[in-house]
Amino acid sequence: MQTKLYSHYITSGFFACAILATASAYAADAAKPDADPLPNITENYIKVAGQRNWIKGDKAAYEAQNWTARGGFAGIEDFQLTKNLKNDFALTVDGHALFGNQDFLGQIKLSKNELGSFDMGFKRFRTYYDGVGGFFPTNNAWFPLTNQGLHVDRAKFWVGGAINLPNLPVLTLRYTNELRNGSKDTTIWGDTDFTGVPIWSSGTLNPISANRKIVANYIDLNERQETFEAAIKHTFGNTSVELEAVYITAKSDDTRWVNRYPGELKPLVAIPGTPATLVPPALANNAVAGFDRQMSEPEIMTYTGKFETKVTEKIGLHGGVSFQHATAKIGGDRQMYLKIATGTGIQDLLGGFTPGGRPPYSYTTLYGKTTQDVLTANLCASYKPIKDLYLSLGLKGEDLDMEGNNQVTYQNTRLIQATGVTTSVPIDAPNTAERSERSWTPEFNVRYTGIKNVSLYTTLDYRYVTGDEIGSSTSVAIPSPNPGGTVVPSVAASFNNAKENHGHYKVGANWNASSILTLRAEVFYKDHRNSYTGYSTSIGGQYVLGYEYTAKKLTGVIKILPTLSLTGRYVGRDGEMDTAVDFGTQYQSMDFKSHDFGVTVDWTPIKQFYAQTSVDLVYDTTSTAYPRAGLTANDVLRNADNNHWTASAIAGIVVDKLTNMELQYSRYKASNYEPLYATTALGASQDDYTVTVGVKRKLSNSLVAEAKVGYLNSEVGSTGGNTNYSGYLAYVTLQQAF
Amino acid sequence: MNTFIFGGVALWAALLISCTMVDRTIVAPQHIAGASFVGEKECAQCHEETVKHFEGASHAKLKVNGENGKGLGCESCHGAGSKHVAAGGSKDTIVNPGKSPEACFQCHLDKRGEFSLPHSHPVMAGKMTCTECHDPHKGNVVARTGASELETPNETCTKCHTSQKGPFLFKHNAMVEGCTVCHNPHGSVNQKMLTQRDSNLCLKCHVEHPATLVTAGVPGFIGDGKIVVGGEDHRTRMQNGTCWVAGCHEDVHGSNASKAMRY
Repeated sequence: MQTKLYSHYITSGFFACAILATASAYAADAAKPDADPLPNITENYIKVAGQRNWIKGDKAAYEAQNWTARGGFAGIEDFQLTKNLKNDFALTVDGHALFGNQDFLGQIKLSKNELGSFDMGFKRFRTYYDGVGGFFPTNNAWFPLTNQGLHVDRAKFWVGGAINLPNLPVLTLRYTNELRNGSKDTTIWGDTDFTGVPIWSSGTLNPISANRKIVANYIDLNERQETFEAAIKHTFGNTSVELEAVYITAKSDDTRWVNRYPGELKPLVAIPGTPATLVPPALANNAVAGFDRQMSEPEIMTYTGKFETKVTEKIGLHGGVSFQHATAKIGGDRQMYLKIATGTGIQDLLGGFTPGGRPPYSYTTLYGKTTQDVLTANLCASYKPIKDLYLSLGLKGEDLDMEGNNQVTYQNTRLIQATGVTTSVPIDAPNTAERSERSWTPEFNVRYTGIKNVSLYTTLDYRYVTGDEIGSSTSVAIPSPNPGGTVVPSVAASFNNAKENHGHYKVGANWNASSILTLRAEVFYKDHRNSYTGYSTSIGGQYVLGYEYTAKKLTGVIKILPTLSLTGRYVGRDGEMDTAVDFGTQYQSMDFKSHDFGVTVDWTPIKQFYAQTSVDLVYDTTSTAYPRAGLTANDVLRNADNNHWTASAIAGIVVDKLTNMELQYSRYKASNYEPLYATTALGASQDDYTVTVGVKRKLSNSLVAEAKVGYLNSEVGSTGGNTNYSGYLAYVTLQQAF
Repeated sequence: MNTFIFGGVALWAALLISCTMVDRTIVAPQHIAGASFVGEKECAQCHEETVKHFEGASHAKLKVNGENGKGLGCESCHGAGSKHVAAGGSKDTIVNPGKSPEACFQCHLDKRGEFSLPHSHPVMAGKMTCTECHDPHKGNVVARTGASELETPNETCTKCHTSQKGPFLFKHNAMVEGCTVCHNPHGSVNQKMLTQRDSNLCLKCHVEHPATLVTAGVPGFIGDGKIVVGGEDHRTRMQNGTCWVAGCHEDVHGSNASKAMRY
């Protein structure tokens, strides 16, 4: 065995030396121009492709993470046609049609200099989601959707054109219709007590709640937006002026399907207070299932005028004015049914509650309207007093007024559990809101390049907002004690003065020290302060949020050899927030730190080989209440850690006169798992990798074939391994130029 | 295993030696084989409008005067342009970052990492490009910040995520800080590209030290074992789940029915 292993070492050492020697021999050659690269066909071609996947494990997770159908796809991956027609017309057509992935694009453009252009197209692609909810490790609690595989199709159709005649204004017209339809997952998860945590029937005795909100739910999307645009632009000498009108009409009708406490039903007679017991079959809660449907139909009209001019060779000006008027009809329907045991059997009650209980809030009617007007203007000047100095100064102002009202009619059902007698409890709950804001944003930029091979720059902007927020909201509550189970609307008016001060400051330098070394450094700092102070009947109320954030970016590019370069970037971020409520003590509510180290190495030892490796290592943590809350609060929350690393490598090699080979590897790993009694999102823990080997071969000057095989593996600790998958893929293409 | 490894080495060595017998070039993606830098003035010959506006673009800061700055500017991202110029502008002789993010990843190494995470916009899958949200040729590359444009930064997101646009009767003032206070638009280890996966996301702005509790004789926040939000201790609720789960504050982007954004 020893001998065999030794011989392997010799063999590998020999080949390693051979590689290095060969690399050195050809290193000097690497920077020379190419002799005969494989054809890089980018115009007038069709590329057909197919991919077949053999996935084991959670196929929905595979789809969601890889943006592709579980079985694979086939069709036209790319089509490009550019053609000069008669009378100097130019035609371009491009598109793709990948069945399986349901990914389609087709667009055509016809243009002629000094006449104009016409274009039309359709695009549709599918995004995938896995409806898996959360995971709790004590008894491997896991409540995914029955059908985990969800998807949303995004589609867009557009048609437009421009008339561009010499010395006349350019007229542009465009129509766009965008759709978003399908189902996607949500992190608005439902509750369960089936977590394996022992509970007492009396909540106050539970040292640790058994309840965890980890049950998967999903949203049905049905959204459409149509946009009509018309613009006219004219250039007089050094000045151009553009007038634009845009009308948007949209309709969204989205429904969230909610499932809480599935499979649970509290017995009519309460279970004993002792001893402690696991939840089933003596249950702590009642199932709630239903939907929350939200509808909106906005209409938005925007008029914009812009100009741009060159006052002198050194001074430029641009600016504009925009007015937007938006109205939206709003609607909704929320029906949550409570399954509850009564003396006469189990009932499903819309917003059902027992005297003293809290209803699952439901309403069958919501209608209303919002209106918003926004007037915006800006003026920016640029000045270049000397060749190496660039200055710009801008000012933007905005005036926003919004008002809205609605009528919600809650539909709840009061129940006397012993007799099963129910009473419908409809309650009207009107709401109103008014907001006005005026903001000013000055911006200043300087860039100086007067030092040889150095660029210095700074950017400053500061947004100052004053405003008013006035509203009246109605909520529904059951007073306690409340033996009659009376539900009462509670109306609250609010009056707030709003002030927002947002400063952003950036300073940086680039130094191209030599042909070998480039260094860049940049510091960005933002200081935000938002305050909302009550007046009138809201006097005494106040909320203040301060947010300071600093980002430091250091980049270095070192070309160690003509054939070897290394790019490194460090991005350090830290942020602090502080809050003060009702003139109470102001204290830190967040402490955030992140360090991101990225390195890319490019190595081209010989003309026939390249390798590129990238690694990104991230340390990222956010602290809020933990550990400062102390005592038992520290059992329910931990810092949010997002530590992870990603890596990718690609290598290409010339195999023979007609063939290239390419290897790719990618890896992602996160280990922030904290499975004890902290909140349901236990921390990302995942380890994924993908390896592919591909061959590209020139079959003729106009025909290139490519084949790739790969293996991928994903292990997810934070879902208890329930979303693990692994498998093989095979991909082939054929690209024909014409 | 050893056989596999050492056999692999042997195979690679054989391949490498064989390939060196072929006088042909292979280049990493986003490189133009055999091309050299021509400078921005050449680009302006055909792309006058783009070059004209680049002076005021964020990426203009990359340009320096001096021999070492040759190739900075247009060719930093589009690759060396000599072959493109010689070929009269053919597409196969220039890098188009609008088709692939590799040009951006040359410097934005952290973004390559973020787009490789399991919860990210589908840039790596080719369904989106960096330029859909960032215009590298004009104005602030972090779109719509500052004063140079009439639109607001959140419009970068709501042009696609239309149902989050509002206006809502009850708005969430987190939108004042922008979508990015809760979401990392490039990618995150957390679902929905959240910057924090749990209640820490909300507590950043919402842990309180209310004067009313202090004056009522209730101990203050720090060290008292409470997590107070809206004047109430939310400790048990946070043990059960995040703030935005079913039955709690479901409509975090804004609500038309509940001031507390419960639904």
